[in-house]
Amino acid sequence: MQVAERISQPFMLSTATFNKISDIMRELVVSTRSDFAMFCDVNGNPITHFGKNVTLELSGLAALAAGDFAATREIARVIGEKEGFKFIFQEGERRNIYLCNVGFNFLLIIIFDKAVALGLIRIFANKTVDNLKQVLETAVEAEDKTSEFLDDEFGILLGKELDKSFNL
Amino acid sequence: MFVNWAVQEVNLKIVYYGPGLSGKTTNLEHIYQKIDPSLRGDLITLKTREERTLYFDFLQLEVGRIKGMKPKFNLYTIPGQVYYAYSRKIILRGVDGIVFVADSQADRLTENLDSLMDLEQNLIDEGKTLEEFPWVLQYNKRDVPRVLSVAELNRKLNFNAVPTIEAVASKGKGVLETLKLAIQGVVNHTQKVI
Repeated sequence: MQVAERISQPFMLSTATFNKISDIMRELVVSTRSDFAMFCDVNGNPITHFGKNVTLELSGLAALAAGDFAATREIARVIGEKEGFKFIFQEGERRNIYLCNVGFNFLLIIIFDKAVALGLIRIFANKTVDNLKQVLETAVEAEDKTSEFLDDEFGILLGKELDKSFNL
Repeated sequence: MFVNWAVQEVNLKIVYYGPGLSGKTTNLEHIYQKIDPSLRGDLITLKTREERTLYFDFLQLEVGRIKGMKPKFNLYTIPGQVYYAYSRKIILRGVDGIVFVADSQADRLTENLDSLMDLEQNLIDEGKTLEEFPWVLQYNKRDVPRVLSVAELNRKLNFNAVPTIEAVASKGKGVLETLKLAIQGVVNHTQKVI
């Protein structure tokens, strides 16, 4: 199954696809002199990122971006914009953030300094989305090797780890 | 479940469901306070001015590597109030397991049932059913007056015979035990389906 058509459950991302996506994110940040870019899925799972440490809360950022995008898509539906909005842009005092979807299942987040022009970000974001779609369309999900690690022993060891972490 | 082989991570999504004011956010707040900060992120809450959950709460936990993989647990709450139906549907996308936080008070039984029906419908929309999905029932607020007995709650709410646990989330009682039960339910379920 192609990654672009997913989301199957469970979803497996291969190392080869991960590396290709990481290269695209690096290119985006370097080309635009952005502070940070992240690729995540619409369920709020961060997949890969590149750039400065704008936050240590990468999971929180991805969860909030996914929620923001879902809410905005619904606003589009409510006012009759069938295709949804193309992107979300928020302007801060020092930094701006640009969010856009990559197909139906993934999101691109770019955080950039106020000195960087929005037009530049839009041009490179569109190019990045095309490149990411190409990778996702040709990629297939990694072979499902979940059963190799998710066995009874995993369950027992996880129980012990949880007891340790939770002081149970 | 999302497995990123390049970084050897397994991400599981657990959603705390239940009627308004049943104690979903209180569960997450207790987990946040009790877990070693090196094993958790910030607690993110999207609240109204009245301190009610507007969209969701989010907390990520992780434990040490197991068989080379790092398990990460993404915990979400839903807004319980009836009119936030769309938010609940969004948050359920990609869910791996559910903690249903039921309010044990006798006069909240209808709200519990309505929320459970709402959950079932939303799961059906996701192509899942309560019968085949890993979920646990937390009977919360066991310390307040006029609560139903566990036997009565089981009769009224636990028609799928899922694991149950008594809790007083405001005092942390039963909270971490509930989460452990839910995580193990997800792992057991995943083992069966793969």
